[in-house]
Amino acid sequence: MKVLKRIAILGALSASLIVTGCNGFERTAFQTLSSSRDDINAAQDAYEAPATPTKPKKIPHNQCAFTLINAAKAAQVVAVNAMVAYEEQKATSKDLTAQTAVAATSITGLVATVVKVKTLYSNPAAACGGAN
Amino acid sequence: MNAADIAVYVKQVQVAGDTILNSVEAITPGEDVTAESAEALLNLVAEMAQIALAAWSAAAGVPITVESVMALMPNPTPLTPPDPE
Repeated sequence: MKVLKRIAILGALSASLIVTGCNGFERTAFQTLSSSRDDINAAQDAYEAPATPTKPKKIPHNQCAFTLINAAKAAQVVAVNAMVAYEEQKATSKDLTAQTAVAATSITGLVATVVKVKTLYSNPAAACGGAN
Repeated sequence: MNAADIAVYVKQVQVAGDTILNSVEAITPGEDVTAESAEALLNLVAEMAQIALAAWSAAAGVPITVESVMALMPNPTPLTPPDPE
């Protein structure tokens, strides 16, 4: 009975230690990709939404916005594919160093692109380098 | 999270397990802990660490799998062409 109590204590403490102490690359990457996907989809919705007298367009329906949002969508696809490759490799290999670097690089590029897309809301001229 | 990360957490759990065992022994000095039983308990802790990792994923939101990552693809509908300038 005492052994069972020990096992219960160990289980509870080890679980709490892990639950509170774990914040690795994988989770951060997943949350970043989730956030960027929502940003990009919202930008697409804003780009496509028609202007009305009471609701002006949040993002202009012009070439600059079209190019930036498409670039962000492409970057998202590249980053997601890199993380899918990471997950697949995780099942077969213990050394994920190379794939971690690939995924991290693609996510860094994605984040920079999404920042530009966000600027379309507040300052389209700046996002388009003064072209719009 | 990769294998190295997991190993770090398992090590932390093992250290915590040693501490707990020592503490419990101090409270109940009449009971011996053999090397075999201690090792078995530490193995159990290592297994629990794996389970706790899965629990952590669930606690933080969506479990990270190939399928859940694939769901992070952007809206597949192409953008409509821009207005002529």
